[in-house]
Amino acid sequence: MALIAGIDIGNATTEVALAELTADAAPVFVASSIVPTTGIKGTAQNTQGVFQALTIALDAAGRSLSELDLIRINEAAPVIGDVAMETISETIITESTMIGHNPTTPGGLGIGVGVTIGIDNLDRAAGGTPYIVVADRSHTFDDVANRINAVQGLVEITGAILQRDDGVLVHNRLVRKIPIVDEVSLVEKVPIGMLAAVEVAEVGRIIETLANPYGIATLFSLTSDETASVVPMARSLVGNRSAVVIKTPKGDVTERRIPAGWLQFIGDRTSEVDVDRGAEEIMRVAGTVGQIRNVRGEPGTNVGGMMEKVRVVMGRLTDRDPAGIEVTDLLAVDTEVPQKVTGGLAGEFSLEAAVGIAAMVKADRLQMQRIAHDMTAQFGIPVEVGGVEADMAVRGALTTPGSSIPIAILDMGAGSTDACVLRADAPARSIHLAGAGNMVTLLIQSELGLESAEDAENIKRYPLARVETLFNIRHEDGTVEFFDAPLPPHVFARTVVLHPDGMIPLPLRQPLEVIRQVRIKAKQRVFVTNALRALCAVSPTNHVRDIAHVVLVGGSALDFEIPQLVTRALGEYRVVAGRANIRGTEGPRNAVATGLVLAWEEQR
Amino acid sequence: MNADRPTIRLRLNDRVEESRIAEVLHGIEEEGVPVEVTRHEQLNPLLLAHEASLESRLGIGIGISLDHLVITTEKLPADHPYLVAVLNQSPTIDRKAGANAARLVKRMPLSDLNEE
Repeated sequence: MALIAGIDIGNATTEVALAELTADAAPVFVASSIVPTTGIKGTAQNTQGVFQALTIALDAAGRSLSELDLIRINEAAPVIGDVAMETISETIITESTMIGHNPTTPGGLGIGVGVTIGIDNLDRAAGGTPYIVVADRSHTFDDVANRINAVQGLVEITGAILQRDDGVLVHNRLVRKIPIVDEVSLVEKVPIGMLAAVEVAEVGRIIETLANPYGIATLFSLTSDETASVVPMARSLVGNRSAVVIKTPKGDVTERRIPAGWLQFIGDRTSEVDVDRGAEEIMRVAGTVGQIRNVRGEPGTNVGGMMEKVRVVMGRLTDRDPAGIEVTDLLAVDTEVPQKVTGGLAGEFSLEAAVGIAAMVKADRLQMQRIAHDMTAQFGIPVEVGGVEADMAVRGALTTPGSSIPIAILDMGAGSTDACVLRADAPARSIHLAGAGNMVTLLIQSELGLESAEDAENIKRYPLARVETLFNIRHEDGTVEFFDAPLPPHVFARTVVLHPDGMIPLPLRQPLEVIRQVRIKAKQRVFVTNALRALCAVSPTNHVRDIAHVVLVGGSALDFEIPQLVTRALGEYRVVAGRANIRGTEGPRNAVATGLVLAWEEQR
Repeated sequence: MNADRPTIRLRLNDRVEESRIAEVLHGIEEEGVPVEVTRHEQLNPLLLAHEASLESRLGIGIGISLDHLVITTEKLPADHPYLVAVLNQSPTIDRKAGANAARLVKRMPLSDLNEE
């Protein structure tokens, strides 16, 4: 009898399958375990996580490390993934300017057009010209209201711009009502003596004139060339309840395109593509060069920098010269990133085009041998490197009740999406593609403008809800749940993530449905795209529809909606797809670890 | 003032000067919610807030006595109020506390009263 452990070191988790093997009998699995991978997959730091996972499994089985006869680790699919994001457009406002931060409580209603004037200079204002008053933090609402009321009938005032959050308070104290935009953080940068327009819409409405280029043109009598130049500004004000636009003599707002550079795919053929053309074109060109051996970015451009970063990170992790690192697959995804508007006065954001890239690097085969060596020395137990990871995963997946050869697996992990097809009469075909769970997290983080990757990870993993009252929440599917104790003030009226440890409030103003759509779209663009790419590559005919059955495994197959999204997409090709249940008990986890044990049994 | 008008009720202890609640009232006003202030002998801010919330047609009450500011709703017991703060720690916190009472009515996210 032998006690052996199959260990799968993945990008995110390290999994163990512990089994007893007796001659002439099927292996008996006695325990499984799962821990977060320590360090990057395929590096020496992994040993720590392996030891931890082993200890948990051995404890669960009531065995000790010394009883273990053999450890088999995966050949660590010689791939490591990395993700990067770069914006390719930017809105810069020069000379002319706008305020579009959308404070929650502006004052008044309507549109006011006039020349900007500091509130201290009101008494010196000439009659006959309409003015927009500008007041900084040193002026209280009483002071602002008194000064404006004092010149009532002498000077025409059509609007106000305030630094404090005082818009409603000032409005309530004015004799003659005007639209007021408040909470303007950089009020000292508002140009004085320039023609400006202030617009505030009714509660529940959005501004109509300043979000319309022709509206701005009408107010400021612009020529058609000048009108064209205010388009980016009008666009960034769409959806606001309040805004200010200020015209300066040589006013122009420009949208500057940063040259994104080209990507060069080196395979059986070599082909280049301009990153500006978007993700679809990048992926099309990538598909034309045959087996990709390396990908390079244009030096001195954004994409060049991105690819360089990937090489440096990978080089450091695997202890190799960055110049020698070869990128063997790349997934590009179009995205929009909220970026601070350069030249805005209140921290405005504008959605800019960006491209997200996941890259995959061929790791050193010997690397895993070295880890096996280290582990043998450390644990005093023989450690051997098992077969190709995808083959192991297939063997593990076949323990799912109801599965049989021919079978295709789709292994959706954190760093890569792998596929493998096993047929009765042919060797297994497998492929590793860049882009998986980590890429989804990156897309969610950048599209929602989240500062923390942790919030993005939580949005990816758990459903959303909105706290409606002290005692109830509304789930994202519309159902309502009641609580006996009042919900804490920090979650009141917020969109929250339903984490198993409790509700986590999100620092976002977007409605729940927008956040949900960002999450679903991110998952579709990465996993549906990669599922189709991977299955095409391993299908005997290179068509997805010639694969009959697909079993989903890997950490991302545990996600509450990714399997459904992939299943639905594959359904269009009449492919039956479903989540694996390894050994009838483990769900989509532990496929490779289980396969490692079974493969040893077979080779004996 | 019409007793049926939906307002936040603020019950103020007799010994607290009117000037000390100015910023609290401004916070409510900036959020656009009406408020009615009444004076009482009761010294316990918890009871002031609880009774104010029962009286409020919006179900939100504020009790202010000694150095305490208490915000609660009609659905909570008197000894378990929703938000509490020290009165006049800073004008900003007073203003935020008032705004929070109004935001409870409007069902909008609250500000943290522990930071300036």
